[in-house]
Amino acid sequence: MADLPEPERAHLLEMAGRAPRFSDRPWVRSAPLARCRIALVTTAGLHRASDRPFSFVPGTEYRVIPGDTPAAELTMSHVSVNFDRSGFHADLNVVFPVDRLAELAQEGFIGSIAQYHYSFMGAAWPPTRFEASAKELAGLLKKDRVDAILLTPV
Amino acid sequence: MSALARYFEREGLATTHVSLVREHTEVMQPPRALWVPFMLGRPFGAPNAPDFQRKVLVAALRLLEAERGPVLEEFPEDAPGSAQEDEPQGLACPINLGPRAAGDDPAAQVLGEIAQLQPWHDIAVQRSGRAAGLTGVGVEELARFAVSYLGASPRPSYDPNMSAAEALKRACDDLKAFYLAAASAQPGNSGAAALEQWFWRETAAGKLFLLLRQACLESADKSLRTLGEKLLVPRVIAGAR
Repeated sequence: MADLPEPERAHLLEMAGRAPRFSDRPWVRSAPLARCRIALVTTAGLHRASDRPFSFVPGTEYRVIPGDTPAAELTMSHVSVNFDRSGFHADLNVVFPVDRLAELAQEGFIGSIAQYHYSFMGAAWPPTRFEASAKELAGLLKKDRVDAILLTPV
Repeated sequence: MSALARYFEREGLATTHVSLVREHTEVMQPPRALWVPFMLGRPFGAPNAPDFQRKVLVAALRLLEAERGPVLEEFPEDAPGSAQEDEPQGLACPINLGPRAAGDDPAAQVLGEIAQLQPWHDIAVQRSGRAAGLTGVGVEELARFAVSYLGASPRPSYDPNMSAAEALKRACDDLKAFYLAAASAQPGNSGAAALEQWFWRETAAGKLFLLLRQACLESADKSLRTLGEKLLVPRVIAGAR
């Protein structure tokens, strides 16, 4: 963060000061990677081009991304103007590494890929607002026999 | 992101997490996180760098093998191409645009730029397989729509289901995406920082956005004022003025 211009750095530090503190230490032991079924959960505001864009007012709604969605079908409607999008426009995998994950599954490094990935727009504050959505998704991910989740920001 | 990881883990699902802002991750302590020293918007380092993306992905997944936590590990490499952006020449105007349209009419200026950038945008779409915009409306029409907000009677929204603020926001997002996709396709491999500098300092569209920001801040419509405050111009540009 030392490389960031001052207004962005100051903003992020101020947010760190206001971020919620937790007292518990949840910990679930993962299955071995070679047997792990992995789902991606992103806060980058991604969705298929045919889906509704994310609301202009940040909320905790999510979009479903079928695990076999081609990269060319995904787009981004995140409301923030404070991060780079040129990388995403050139190559989805810099934000949402579906092609890399497919390669790792094919090589047997991971067991398999979930039927569905999920996408939020991570602008809602405070982050504790996402608790109900996370509980809902956890139930769906278990039905999809997912062992572990890779969370990726933007 | 860190909070989501905690909530999933409480529900019995193991998580690993790529973190772009170490300070946030340190405070919220998700079970497993890989901090990466990359710019916001690029959690896997660099576009079209599959070997590097894979390295980051594998490092994040390997955290699932940890015996106990919380684990906050640091990815040891900078993103490919990031060093050259620190060089002064990396921030020089990277894009070749022809002479500006005569006069100071923002619509004529922006439409002139769009015409010059169109062939490069076409190349970008052919390469990535997808259009940069979300609205499905032609970029010239979006430019005329956005410019109308500088006057007393803005055009009606191109989408009746969107509020004025949302329509203007989406129009501006699509315009900027068009410019950056086109500029990225030109020869020279301009970095993200150089492209941002170019858009905000060198283009008529960047100047239009700054004028729109001002117009929104002075609007009677609360949603438009919010747009002006937060959602048209990045903090680093608005703060520098």
